[in-house]
Amino acid sequence: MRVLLFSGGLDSSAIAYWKRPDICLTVDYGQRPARGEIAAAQAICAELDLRQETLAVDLKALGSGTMSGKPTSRLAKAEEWWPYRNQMLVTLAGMRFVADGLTEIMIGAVKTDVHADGKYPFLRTIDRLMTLQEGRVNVTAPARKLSPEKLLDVSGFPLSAIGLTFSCHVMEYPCGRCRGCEKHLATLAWAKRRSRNSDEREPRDERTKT
Amino acid sequence: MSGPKPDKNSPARDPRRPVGGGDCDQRFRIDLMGVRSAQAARLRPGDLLQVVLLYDGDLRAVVCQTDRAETVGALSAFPGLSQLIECMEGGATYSAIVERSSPQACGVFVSRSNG
Repeated sequence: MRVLLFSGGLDSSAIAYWKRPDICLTVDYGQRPARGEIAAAQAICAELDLRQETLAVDLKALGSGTMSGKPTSRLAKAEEWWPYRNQMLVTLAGMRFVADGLTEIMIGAVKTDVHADGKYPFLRTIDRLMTLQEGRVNVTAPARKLSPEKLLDVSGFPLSAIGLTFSCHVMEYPCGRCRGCEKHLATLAWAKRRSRNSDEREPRDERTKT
Repeated sequence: MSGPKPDKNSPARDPRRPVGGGDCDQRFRIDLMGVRSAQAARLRPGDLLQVVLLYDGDLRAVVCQTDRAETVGALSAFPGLSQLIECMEGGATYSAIVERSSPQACGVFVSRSNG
């Protein structure tokens, strides 16, 4: 069984479309945008015909940064940093599914991640740590060498479904101004430019053929 | 999410900004983000949506809602968002006409509905 940690954001949605996991797991760990993430995850999985499950474990008291509504730690490389977040999510997913035949947990880390738990040393180590334990579960990050734009390209995620995705760090509905929304909008702008460029190229190709 | 603050006399309103200010006469075409499939699927071209400011503490999001106050999605993918919020807090109101809608996406034309 392959499980994808699924926030309903652009990156994890593209990975869901690309890798077709058996389950897309959305974790409500007490983050402020949880309801928006769950709504997006359910809508995207319905659209992609994938199984989605939500796990609620309230860890809000242990969060920090914009996703928890608390001050950002001086340790943080970006305002949304939540201590040990990917480690926590991997552990929760493992706990939920290891007895059900779990073989792989995929996480949505990309090349531009600034947090340590999105980078290769952590990803290699958490994979090793999980495979040392019962179930020998692998942890993978299929997009870790890709930028968000390249991931959209490689995955073939349909632009028509981008409106369903959700990347806000602070609210149930996209605020348009947090770092999550800014990254989302930048990737969206790139996708629209690419789409326009390919539309413009097509007629020229047609003329060449005739 | 604590929802809309409809009271235009709330402390958030800037009394110096006239409701009829020209810089608030924004008209634009946009795709909603964070689309709620169930609501979007029921919409048809020409349907009218209300543009509503939602608050969560000191955070704000601008969303489109049906006449039954169901949120369809957010206005977030455009550079004039801060200006729009400022205008709405100053008393300007906006509506959105649905141009196309499906369970995956909703495109609207937003324009001012007062002033």
